[in-house]
Amino acid sequence: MGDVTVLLSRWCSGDRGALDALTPLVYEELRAIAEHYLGKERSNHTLAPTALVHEAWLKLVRQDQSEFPNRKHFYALAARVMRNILVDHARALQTGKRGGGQMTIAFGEAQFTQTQHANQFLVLNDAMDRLAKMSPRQAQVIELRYFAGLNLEEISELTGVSQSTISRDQRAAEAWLGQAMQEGVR
Amino acid sequence: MTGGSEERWRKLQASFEQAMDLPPGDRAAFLAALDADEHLKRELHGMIRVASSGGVDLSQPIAALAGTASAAPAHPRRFGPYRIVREIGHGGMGVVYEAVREDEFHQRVALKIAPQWRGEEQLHARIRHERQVLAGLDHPNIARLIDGGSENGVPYFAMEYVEGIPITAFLHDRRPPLPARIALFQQVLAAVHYAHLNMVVHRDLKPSNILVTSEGVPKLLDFGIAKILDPMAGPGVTGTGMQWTPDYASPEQVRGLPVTAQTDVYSLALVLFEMLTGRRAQTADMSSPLALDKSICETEPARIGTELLHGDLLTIVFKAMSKEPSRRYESAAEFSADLTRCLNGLPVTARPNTFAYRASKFLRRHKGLAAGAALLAASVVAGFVSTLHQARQAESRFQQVRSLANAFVFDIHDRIQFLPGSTPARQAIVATALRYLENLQQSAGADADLARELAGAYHRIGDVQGNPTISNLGDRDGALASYRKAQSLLAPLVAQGDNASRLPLAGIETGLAMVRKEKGETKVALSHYQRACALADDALAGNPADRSALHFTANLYADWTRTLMQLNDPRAPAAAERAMLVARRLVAADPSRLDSLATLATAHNSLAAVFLSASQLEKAATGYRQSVELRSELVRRAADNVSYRRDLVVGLGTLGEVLGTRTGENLGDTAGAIAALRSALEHTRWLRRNDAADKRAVFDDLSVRMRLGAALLEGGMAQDALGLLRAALEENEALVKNEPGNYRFTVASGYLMRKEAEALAALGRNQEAVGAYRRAMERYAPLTSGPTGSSVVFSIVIVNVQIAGLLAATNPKAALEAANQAAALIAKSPQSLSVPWTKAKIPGDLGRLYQRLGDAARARPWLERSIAVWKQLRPPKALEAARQKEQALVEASLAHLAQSKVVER
Repeated sequence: MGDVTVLLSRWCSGDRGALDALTPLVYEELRAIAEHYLGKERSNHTLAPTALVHEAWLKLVRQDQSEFPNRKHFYALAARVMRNILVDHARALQTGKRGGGQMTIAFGEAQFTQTQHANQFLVLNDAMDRLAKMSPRQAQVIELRYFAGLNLEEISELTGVSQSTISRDQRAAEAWLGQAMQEGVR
Repeated sequence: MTGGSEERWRKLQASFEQAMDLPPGDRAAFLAALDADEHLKRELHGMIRVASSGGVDLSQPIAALAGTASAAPAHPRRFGPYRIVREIGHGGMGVVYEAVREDEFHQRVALKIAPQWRGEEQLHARIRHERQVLAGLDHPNIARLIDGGSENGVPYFAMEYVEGIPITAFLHDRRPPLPARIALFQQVLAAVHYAHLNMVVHRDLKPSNILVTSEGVPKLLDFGIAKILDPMAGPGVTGTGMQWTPDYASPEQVRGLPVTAQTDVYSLALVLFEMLTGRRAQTADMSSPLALDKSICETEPARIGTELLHGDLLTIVFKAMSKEPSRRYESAAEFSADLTRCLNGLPVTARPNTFAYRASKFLRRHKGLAAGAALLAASVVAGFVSTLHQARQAESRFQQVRSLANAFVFDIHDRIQFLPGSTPARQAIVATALRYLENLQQSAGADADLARELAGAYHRIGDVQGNPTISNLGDRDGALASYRKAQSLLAPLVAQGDNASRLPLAGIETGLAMVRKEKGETKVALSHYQRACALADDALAGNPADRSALHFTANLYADWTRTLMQLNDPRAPAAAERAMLVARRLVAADPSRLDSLATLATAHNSLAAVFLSASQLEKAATGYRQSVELRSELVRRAADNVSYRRDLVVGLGTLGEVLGTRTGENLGDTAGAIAALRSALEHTRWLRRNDAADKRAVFDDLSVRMRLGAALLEGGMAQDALGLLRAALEENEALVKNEPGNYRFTVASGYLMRKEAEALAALGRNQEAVGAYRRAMERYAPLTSGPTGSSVVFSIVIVNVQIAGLLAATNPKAALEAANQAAALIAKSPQSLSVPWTKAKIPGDLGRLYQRLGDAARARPWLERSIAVWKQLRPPKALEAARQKEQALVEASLAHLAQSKVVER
């Protein structure tokens, strides 16, 4: 796993090419973990995407003794990747497919709920895209908060924006996304 | 992404925030009145609706999708009597939600619920435990328990919802001064101490668990891993594994040792460190258990003072974060008490109980007893000196005694040097130190290290004796002798190519230059400066980023600039530019250091002085203003520092001159000048109040009052000026009486009397004014051959012209006598009229006087001489009107003369 750490360090020090090489690695790992959970039928066991991101971190980097700042950059990248994975997953659900081309077994009620969740998620995703067009910073805060599970302090450190500003940004962005989702549902 | 849509978002967010600040009932009206398109208004309306109905939980659709197998939403919408608004945080402990109690009170709470997806009894037990802990605590700075229970077998509790941000973020946003930061932290200490008294140790204190509300009230949160100490059970090992936050964990937590109140003291010390420096005190290295142990149990942050964290405060923080629990404060209350002592300038318990430390604190509190303390200090050093003799036989003991005594001498001196009232103590220390150094030198031999050390010591002694830029003891010859000793020790080393000795030798040359200059031996001073500059440039060339070289070189060039200007040397502007260049590099290298800012201020000052000498007044005023701003900042940050305050006084005085009091060369801003000088007066008052023996403070105070008096006169406030000038004069006369030969005090008396007379004349009290002028003349008479002879002659000329003017109507004979005397003096030493303005003004006044006294023959040449100068004079814009008026007066007199001539014929 050494290359992930090396690539992360290179990306942190401004090498954009390293990001291009890094993304597929993180994507693969996250997808594998996500598939493991998303594909499983579980009755009382859910795992938030933020936990998946953390697990990816542990698998890819942590055992390689990397430094702290890398972790936040990793999470920023992983948040984006995680979001994409979930978008793929939701689209697959909408079209009645599961990852790996497997046919879904209809469960009646359960499947209906799944599709509803997928729709709801895609509405949110679409709203986030529109928010990013108006204000990339606010959209990033939401992504880091909800897809990588970073807290206020960590987002502040990563983006270099003060915690109070981020807190205000988040409040406005959430309100906007909330109204956009309500509009979208109607 | 277009600029327009970004603009749109800014408007949305700003309006949204404005609306949310309003009471809910006023929001609709706000929305209606908003100047925006309908689409934006609709979005805004939606946002407000979402936010006022408790916000939206975005994690829900994400978690719902991710957990598709589970039909349950990621978080319940309701829990017991609570409606859940949003998730605040989650961890191994469970989830914390913002929730509202659905009864008539609609109380907002933080609801902590045990994790439902892992039905482990242990986690449920922990939630109950925290509830139990909180139930026993009732303190304004601890988030209160409101309610608790269990719902379908899942335990939960509700506590006060704290709307705040982490304490470090709060400080980062508000940037309060040091005392306010300490006070905030002491509230936290009080809360933690309260918990300790209730046998509760928090064990997870960190900024994100200490929130500060917008009213500035800190609140402790998250007693999730708090431990209830059972006094009967003795210290026990925690069985819960790694729960704490590594970056704020104590060594005993990392090692699994017993946790006590001192564990919280440790974490709080880390928090305080961060509150004062903005940096984490420790960073846990999680790469391996060994690395973690090392990073927390062995690694200390660098013990370097910063702007807010230095001196006793630094010692306190380091005591509190000792790796060994027993070396920390025993309680949060003791920690707090020591902080209070530190803020009040009392000795803190964190200090090792050294004599020097206690002596300096003692001196700070009992200024009158300084001499006694100094005697004590001197006797201790004398003890070292005699030991030195005996120790010479055994080399190793010699080294020990040497370093001990060396450290001791300077330890005491450095601690007290900025303390007001310390002059006698410092004199005693200097005398003892010199004796000790002589002893040491005899034993030195050819050891280069010892030679450098000795030179350094002599340099510092010389500074204390007579370096005019610091608070010195006024012993110039003593200073020269000490500097020369240092020079003779260092020069051979530099000649042998020893780079490390370059900068120290440059320092010595500068010291020699400054003292020579102070003695009036400017030529000799110049040659010392030249040598110092060459040495400093060499040192800097060898190491361009060296902070001390940058600092030294910038100050040196600034100082040299001043000397060059006094000699009208054309190299002055280049030297000033170099000072600015180096000072800017210095500040860029380390913008937070006070001495860097001081150096930049000095550089601004010398460049401004260069502009002033080239009559570029606007540029000069700008430079002086920048310098004054920097220096005010320094005084704000280091209120006890005498030199910063003195520099500010000088800066304000010069700014005042340029703005409104410099004869014929000012910006005509009398009000600005008065304001600057009044501000300077506050600082000279402070300096005098704090050290009655500081002669320079007395003299600075008097000079400021002289200038302020002149400025008030200029501004038409003669009555105010009179009171101020008379008080200053009375004090100055006492000084003259005490030291009859003192040139500066005598000149000052003459000046004050002259200004007193001007004030009296402005008030129409002519008789008294003449008396004051005559007394001024008595003071000036013996001084004409002194170092500023020509300006004294100029003063006598002015006094005579003024007397003649006042007596012209009542006593023409005496008036004529005075006018003749003035005329004779100008004829004898024409250089006394040094400034262009006075070259025009004085002859004009004299000519008009002769005319008034009926002596047309004498009047004409003076008037003609005056008109020639007025015509070609180009004063600053603000003074142009005054010039025209003066010129018109002289022209009118000449016209009048021409007419009477016609009549005579």
